[in-house]
Amino acid sequence: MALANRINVVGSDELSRIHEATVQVLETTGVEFKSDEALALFRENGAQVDGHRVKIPRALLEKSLGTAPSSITLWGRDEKKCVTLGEGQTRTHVEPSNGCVFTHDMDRGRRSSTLADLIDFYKLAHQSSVCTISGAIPVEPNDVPIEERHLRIFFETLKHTDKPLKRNVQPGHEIEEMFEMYELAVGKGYLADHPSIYASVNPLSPLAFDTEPIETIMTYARHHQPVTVLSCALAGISAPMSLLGAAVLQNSEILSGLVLSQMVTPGAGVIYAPATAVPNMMNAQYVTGSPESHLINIVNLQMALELYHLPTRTMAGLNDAKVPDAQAGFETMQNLMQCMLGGSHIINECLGVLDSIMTNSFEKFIMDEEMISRVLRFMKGVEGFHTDLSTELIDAIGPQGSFLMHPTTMKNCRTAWRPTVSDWENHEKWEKQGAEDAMTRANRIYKERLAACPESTLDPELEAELSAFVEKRLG
Amino acid sequence: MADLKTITETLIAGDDEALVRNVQEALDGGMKAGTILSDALIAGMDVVGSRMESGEMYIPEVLMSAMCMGAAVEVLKPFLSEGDTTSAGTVVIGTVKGDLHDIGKNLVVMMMQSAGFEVIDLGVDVEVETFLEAIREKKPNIVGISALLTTTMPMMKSTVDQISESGLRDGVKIMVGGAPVDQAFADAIGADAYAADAGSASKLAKAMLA
Ligand code: B12
Repeated sequence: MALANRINVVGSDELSRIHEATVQVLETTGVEFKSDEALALFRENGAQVDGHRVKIPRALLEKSLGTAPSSITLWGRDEKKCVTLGEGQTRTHVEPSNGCVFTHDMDRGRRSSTLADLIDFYKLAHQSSVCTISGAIPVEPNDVPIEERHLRIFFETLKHTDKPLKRNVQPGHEIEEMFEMYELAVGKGYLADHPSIYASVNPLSPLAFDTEPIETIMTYARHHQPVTVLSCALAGISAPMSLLGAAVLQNSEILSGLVLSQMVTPGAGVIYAPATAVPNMMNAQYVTGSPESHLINIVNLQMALELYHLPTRTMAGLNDAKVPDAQAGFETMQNLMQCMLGGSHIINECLGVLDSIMTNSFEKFIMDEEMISRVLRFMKGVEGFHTDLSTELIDAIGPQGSFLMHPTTMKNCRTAWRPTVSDWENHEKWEKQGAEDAMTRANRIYKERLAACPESTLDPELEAELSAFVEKRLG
Repeated sequence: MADLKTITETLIAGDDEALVRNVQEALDGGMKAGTILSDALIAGMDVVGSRMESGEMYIPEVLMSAMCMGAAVEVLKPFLSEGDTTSAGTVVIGTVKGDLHDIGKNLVVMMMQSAGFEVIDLGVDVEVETFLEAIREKKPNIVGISALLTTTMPMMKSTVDQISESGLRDGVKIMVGGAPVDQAFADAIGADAYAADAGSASKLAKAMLA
């Protein structure tokens, strides 16, 4: 990052206190793992196992932190789109929204999402230059039978993008099936030395892991694919109300997931994903726009970046607005700035999301792209030509002169950042051009983008083969 | 001797030690257990309920008062006569099969308890058969079903269907809830009621049995 500083919430000495508190939680309170396979592995590796409760000793934690990589190369089907996650990364990577139940747009309002909506979000993500990782499930395809969803969604993912991929928790056999399908596209054996897909896994806060998330961590590690362990605790409900207390709990959960992954395959990628929220304590509802939430999560980012040297990820574009209004804008920008300037390597839930992750909006997708692009530009800081203090030039132009046509201006005037949806015209011209507000422009832009998007990123033969694979599996 | 007003105040303040002491003193002073229950405690919880709705009291404070209520009722129990009911009804509740979300369901449980219901919480990832058994055994007035995932919402429907098929439907009112659930879905699967949050859930439960 080219800025001189990241946002830090606490000083470095506080980080070692948090680490020691975490060791204490892991050694004395422990974490529950609902999987015999995981429990056996913990026992073999020297942890104390009592029922489902695992007490993780310091030595095992430190060994695991030692093997977890500080940087992961994640490949896309188009290898030019491969990204570096973690140390050595040059910009924040951006992933689409996930899990939204409703789709919102200006013309049709809020409605139950369908497969057609999902495909449109995949298309927007594929074309987006701020979005570097695709996949996930931006909106739930509620019109696809549940038994068919995992394969149908993955088929559409492969059809509509060749970027590196993000996926969710699944039973082991579904994951194996998905990897097999992916290798139809990239070649058998490819995944073993090309991490290409990571899954986001949630602990069941406080301090527990259910069977399927454990299966996901273990299956991905066996296949040398990364996982991101994402704690989504609610401070005061499933975590302490104290901000640093919540950071300790979240750190304990994420690190215990990391230990599990490293016991399966030392060196398997783990992405550290703090996502704890300060809820609306008046009624205990989950809210995402509080300025206090990232006081917790940035402390955890500091732990991962300064102490553990791990790739990181945060849910950065969340808000509680029901439509893409001013609240959506300011809560999103607040969260983006906090997370991105806090040094998060990947951001997610930041392309279209509304309503505490219940709704995804096409217009907000376009607005979010610009918000992210603003912060990305800011984070590049002052480099190259901009570091010229220009004293000779100032002297040459002198008092009352103009820099407008000087060669340094001529040469660089087109490199300055420009908006993609905001309006920078004067009032008169804006009126002449139809007096559109940002929402209306975003509506127009998303439709133009969809109209220009190719129907498939696969060559027809491969597409037919993948389609046949899906139909065969679905019987 | 602590009067009814002081008892109500300590209940609302969520001070369990003072409340138990005050209730004991009132009993020692010859006040009737039934009077303490209805005029100080239940009256107090009504105040708590309306302060929650208006946002004057926050959820942790409401739950604290409810816990105090429980402690006070324990003190009163030996002295209550048949006519002094402490239970507003029985509720069996759980999160459907395949779903592990329980923060919202737990809140509904706590709010129902504070409204005087006896609640049997079946936990998360609850098999339909477990619901059926609990209905047969506990004979609840209300069955509450929670789901937070669109992929587990169909389980809500099959749970309701199987309650009907097992001939247990007539004896219970079914309430559903959870972030992706709405009134239309509740109607479509044949539930009796839907509530968007824990406060309205317990109010609705009371209204349904009134
Ligand atoms: C916290 C949370 C979790 C926690 C759950 C912890 C726990 N012990 O419950 C963790 C991190 C473990 C988790 C896991 C997952 N989650 Co989750 N989770 C949430 C989140 C952020 C908040 C839910 C919450 O607790 N809210 C606070 C409570 C107080 O509110 P509530 O649950 O809505 O309950 C209130 C009302 O709905 C109502 N109510 C609730 N139940 C009932 C019952 C009755 C009878 C009545 C009358 C009323 C009622 O009253 C409650 C109190 O006021 C939501 C997002 C959201 N906006 O809801 C996602 C969300 C529900 N999760 C989601 C997903 C996808 C998952 C996972 C599948 C993620 C994954 N890829 O692995 C797993 C699933 C695990 C499983 N098998 O169940 C999606 C669901 C999307 C979908 N398509 O259906 C959501 C919407 C987020 C998202 N966009 O991705 N999750």
